[in-house]
Amino acid sequence: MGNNRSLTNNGLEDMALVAFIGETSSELAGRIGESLKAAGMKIHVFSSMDDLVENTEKTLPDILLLNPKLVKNGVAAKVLYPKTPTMIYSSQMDADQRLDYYSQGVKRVIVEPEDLAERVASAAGMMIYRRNDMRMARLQSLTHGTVKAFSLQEVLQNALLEEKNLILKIKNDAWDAKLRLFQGHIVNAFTANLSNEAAVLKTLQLSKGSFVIRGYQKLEEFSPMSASTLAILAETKFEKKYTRHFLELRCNGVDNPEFETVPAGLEGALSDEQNKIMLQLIERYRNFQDILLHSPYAILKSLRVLDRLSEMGAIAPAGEQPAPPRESFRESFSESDIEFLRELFPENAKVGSLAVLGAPTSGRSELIRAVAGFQQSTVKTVKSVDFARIPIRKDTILTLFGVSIEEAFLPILEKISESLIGCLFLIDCSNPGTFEFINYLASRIIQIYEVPFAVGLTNTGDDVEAAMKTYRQHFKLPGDIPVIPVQADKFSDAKALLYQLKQEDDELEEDSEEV
Amino acid sequence: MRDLLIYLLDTEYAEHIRYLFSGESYKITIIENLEDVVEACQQELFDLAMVWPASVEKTVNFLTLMETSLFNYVPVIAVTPEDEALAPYYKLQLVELMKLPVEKVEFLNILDSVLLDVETESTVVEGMNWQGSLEEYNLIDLIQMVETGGRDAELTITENDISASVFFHQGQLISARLDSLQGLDALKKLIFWPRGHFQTKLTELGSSKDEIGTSNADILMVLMESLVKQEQLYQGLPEPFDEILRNPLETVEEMTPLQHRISECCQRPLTVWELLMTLTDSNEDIMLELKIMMQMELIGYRSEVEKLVRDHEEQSGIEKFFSSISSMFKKKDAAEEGYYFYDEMNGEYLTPKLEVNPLKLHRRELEKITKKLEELAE
Repeated sequence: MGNNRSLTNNGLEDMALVAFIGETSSELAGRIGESLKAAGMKIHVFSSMDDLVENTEKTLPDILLLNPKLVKNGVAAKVLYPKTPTMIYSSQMDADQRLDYYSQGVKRVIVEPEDLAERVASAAGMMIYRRNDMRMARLQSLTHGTVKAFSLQEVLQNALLEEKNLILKIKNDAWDAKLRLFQGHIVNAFTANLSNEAAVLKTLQLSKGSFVIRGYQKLEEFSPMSASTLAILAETKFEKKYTRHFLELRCNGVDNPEFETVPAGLEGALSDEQNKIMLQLIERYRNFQDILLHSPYAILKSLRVLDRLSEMGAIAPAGEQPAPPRESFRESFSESDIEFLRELFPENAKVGSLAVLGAPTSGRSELIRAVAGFQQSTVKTVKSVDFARIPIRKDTILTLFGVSIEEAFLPILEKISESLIGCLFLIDCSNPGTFEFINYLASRIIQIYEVPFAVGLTNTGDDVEAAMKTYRQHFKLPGDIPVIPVQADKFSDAKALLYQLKQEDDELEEDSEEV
Repeated sequence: MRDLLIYLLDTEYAEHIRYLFSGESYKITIIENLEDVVEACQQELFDLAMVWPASVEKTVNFLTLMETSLFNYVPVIAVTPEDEALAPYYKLQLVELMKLPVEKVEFLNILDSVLLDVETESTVVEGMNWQGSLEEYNLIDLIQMVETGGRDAELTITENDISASVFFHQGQLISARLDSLQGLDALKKLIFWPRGHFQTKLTELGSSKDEIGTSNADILMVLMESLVKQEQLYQGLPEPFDEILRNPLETVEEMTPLQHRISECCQRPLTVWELLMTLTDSNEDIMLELKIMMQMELIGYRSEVEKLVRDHEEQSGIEKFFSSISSMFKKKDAAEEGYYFYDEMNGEYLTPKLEVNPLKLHRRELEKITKKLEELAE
């Protein structure tokens, strides 16, 4: 065993793995070293931290074994642990001290009162084995690559074409995702914050990172996903276009801009929880792609919040002034939508009110925000009532009122009843405790106001069918009130729910004709 | 999204395991019977396996099963009970060894450290390559995927020291090499590789001369046709990685040149796949001739041929044995049959004396014979 004070590069040029041992006891170092040497490793022992640090600057060992007696406060953590896999060993050490070493970046702490040398040598061997042999075995056995080489869309398209059963694990720094494909179709997907469709859509936005793929054998799979893989691939294209449009309008077309918060605009933004979360992400990641990736929200929702923050002047691309309000990049009502909305209004009426009723968790505010946001209208909240004025024609205004059923909402409805053109109930399916109360209230309101009604089921989870079934079991509303599942913050869903008002109206007309 | 397999040997530890993983993003699959491990591994991509609470024997069994079932890419940790001696584990192929009890935070730190160490991502060069198994992505998949990207790429496929290269320019397949074969001939061989390791390097090609001169669509069509034909012809032949051998006990007077080449290759045991890759003839031709030769019993499964030869040798050994025994007896007979014999008294060889015993018949038998002769004379 060498007890080198100093190493030359030439001395370590062969292919043997190199271990540095920082140990004051030459007897212990000798015993550890003997075992490692027997395993074919090259050993260098240092009895002072200064020598050790000096030599790691010349040659990085494959592993560093360190007696804590040698550890100088701060030096090892700063100089050694980040660049060399380090093991600290001792015959005695309390739990707090061990955890402290782990938090500093030590890979393994070995505490063994008996036969310390053997234990340390074996643990070092295992660490070397997993970093070399095991990693190599995984490289050879698993299909792996980078997203830059082959995009995930290509992988999915190929799997779909060839009807493959695959498990994909995707990783980008600390972010990861898992997709499971059965006969080419995605059957489930997970990221840290999202699952299924939303998780796939986010994963498919990834422009960097790596993945491993493995085929699997199974006769059948259950999928909680309602969207087909083809639909998801189509939606991905749409989302990419949407993202592009956002970047064009908010960031002068820069692909992956960095954002920064603008203190002057923060005051108003911080009252909203979604804004707050996104601002924290901006502070932490800055980079647009990373912000989207680590956002707990789906891509479109994240973009909407970013857009809102841009509009409020709370964020701006790094080095730029907050952008002045610009043309919306988002979806908006088409001419036929406007025509339809106009038809809900009584003849010659210029003002119409639409009530959106629901429990606080029903997505009431999100739905109003989705509709208003797409029309470049701002949402105001006064005494827990959200309202937005949406000009749908030059001289016609639709006002959305979001009212919580936990408040005294009947007086509010009474106030707007003259202009009330429809009423939407949002029912939070994840909160069955409120069903009976909502059923009662809704029945009452339907009896009082002669306007079209529609029900939107929110927070349905993955099983929409089950949510619909639960609704039918618990709600006995008078008349044939249409009901559809909705994602409250999705403009297309909000629009679909509005169209249910029309259906109800039509049906009433048809009924009256029949009478 | 880490998937962990826990081979639980004592259900009393289940609650502690649940506590250690509570609130963490690991997905745990607990298996209590060793025979269920393979099925679990076939259905999931595990990042790590743990034997819990480990015993040396059970850990060895688990490691052996993982190795023989080709799941050796799953790192294994042994978590031993407090009173277990650790030394017997030191020689096992474990990625970590932990002794209970263990603090949750420390446990998770060690786990994270192990998972980070075995990650393939840390060795993948961003943007450079994509590699894996042909079982998941065959040649046709790979051609289509490179074409979709419209990139320059070099695809290398290797199996058992045999290597082939396929080159793409802007997504168009322009050349292919497998040993001395080139172009479509090489691709037709490659399409039949049932397994192998591929590596796709996305790199600008120095030379981009199109040696094939056909569109990818046409190439794929040709390859698909060839594959279907090869698969049809292959029916009835041994599995590609089964070993075959020339049967030395069978001979024929005439063989075609290709049969000769096959016969030469099969003088030593080799797999059908190796045979297909060794000969430059088309796979279709080789398969046809091989089928004929197997029907004629000129070639057979290695195990069967070796058994035949052994039986034959044993048979001929027994025959030799018997013939040697019989020859011993024959030597005795030969001595009796010798025409001359040595007269020790006179010291000379004499001709044997013919000694015929006088016929002894009963009177009644003699009368019968006489009567019969008289009848015949009449």
